Amino acid sequence: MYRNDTVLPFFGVLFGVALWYMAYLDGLHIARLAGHTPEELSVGQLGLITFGIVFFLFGAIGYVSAWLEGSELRPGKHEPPGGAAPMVVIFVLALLLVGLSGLFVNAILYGLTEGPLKPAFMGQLSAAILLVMALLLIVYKKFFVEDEVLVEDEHSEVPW
Amino acid sequence: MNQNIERIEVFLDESKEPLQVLTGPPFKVTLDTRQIPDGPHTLRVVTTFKGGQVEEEVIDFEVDNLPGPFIDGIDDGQQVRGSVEFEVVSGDYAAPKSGGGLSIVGAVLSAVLVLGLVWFYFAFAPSAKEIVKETAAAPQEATAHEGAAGDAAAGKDVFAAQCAICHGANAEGGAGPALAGAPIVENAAQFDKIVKEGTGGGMPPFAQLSDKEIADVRAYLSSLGGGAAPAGEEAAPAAAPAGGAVDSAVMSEGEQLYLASCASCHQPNGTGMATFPALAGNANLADADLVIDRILNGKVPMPGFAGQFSDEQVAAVATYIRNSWGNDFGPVSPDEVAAKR
Repeated sequence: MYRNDTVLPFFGVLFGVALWYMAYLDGLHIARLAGHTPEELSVGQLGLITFGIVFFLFGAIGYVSAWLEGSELRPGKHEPPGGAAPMVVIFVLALLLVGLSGLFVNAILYGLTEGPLKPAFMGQLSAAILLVMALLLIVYKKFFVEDEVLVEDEHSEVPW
Repeated sequence: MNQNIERIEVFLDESKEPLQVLTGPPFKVTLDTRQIPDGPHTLRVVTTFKGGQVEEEVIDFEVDNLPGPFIDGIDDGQQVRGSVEFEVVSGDYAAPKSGGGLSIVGAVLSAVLVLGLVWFYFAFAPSAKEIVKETAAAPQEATAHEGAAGDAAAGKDVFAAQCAICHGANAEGGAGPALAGAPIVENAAQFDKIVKEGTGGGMPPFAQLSDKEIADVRAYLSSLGGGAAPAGEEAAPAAAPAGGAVDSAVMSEGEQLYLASCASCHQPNGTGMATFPALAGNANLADADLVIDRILNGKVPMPGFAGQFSDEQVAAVATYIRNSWGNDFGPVSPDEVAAKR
């Protein structure tokens, strides 16, 4: 039995978003008590955001998995659908990826020669690069990689 | 598994007669596609099991034994002149089905070229550098002009709520020193430090104020200038002899020297300690000669600094302590120090 549906991922994303929202409300509460918005996050906010990220990632991985493999695995070879549209998407993503990488190098050079950069900029840029890479892999796997599902006897009665 | 199969009949298209009947393994069928016309066909495989059960499977396929002619040596739309030689390849099984496709090497090279150009553009082109400059460059003037960036109107409210009880409603002074137009207001770094950390003596730290609020207060106090009458009346007679504007570079040098050599006893905020007198709000500092004399020669238990400091350094320290922490007694020149040596 193999279940890969989107019920758990849905609640993962839901909890993740809820925890993020709690962290936001916590920030508002702290700002009201302190009379101004502190520059740093509180320990409570850090905890909420951390678990929010964990739940959100869990849900996102679940959704990607359900999209790539379907809710149930079916034995046999599965030919990739291929097609022109995914090819165009991959080409656009590849262009975006090299563009962002070039910008990353540009920002490093700018930081070395001209002056300081906004502290979050390099982090945001590398996060965008990783996100585009992940999207590339997902689209490539979905449309251009052949799948084969083998059936094996169960080796034990323990489901995992 | 095969033991249950009685026979397998293979039919081509709509034919009633089976192409082949298989009764035992190996279940292999040979179909010569050259015997049937090009085009779509259907293969029907009917399996009859021993129990009488019948299973049918239909497979669609296409026969293409005679591909159209392929012209090798002249392309569509190509310009030619003189004698042209080309070949017509027809019905050749080895001939490529289309001649216009891009080879794999060509595709990889094109992709590398295009992607490389895009990367190179974003990495090194001046216009891409402008993008980085506009989106990523940290604001340089954030600290240097923080005072100017403050909102005086907002600062007035903060001052009234947090500071006025000691420094007076119009910053004219009270339990705390007058701040209207005081030199400390123009020294953003020190002003912020005192507000955040307090003086260690009379003034408590105001850590709850944000940088923006402190900047607003500074902007408000700066907007008052030296015009707060009550403070001006008291300070004017003493400050008048020195007169003149205080050079911020001299103040900065004096601050460094003060923090290195004097602050351990007189405290970084000039509040003094035990037998070491407070310099903040000390009216004796109005007498420049006295200040120079103390720095040069000291007074037990304070050591003299004549051997360590040059005239310029003594003048810088004297200028700094006479114009910090609410003091406003004007600058001291190196010439005055030299005269007292």
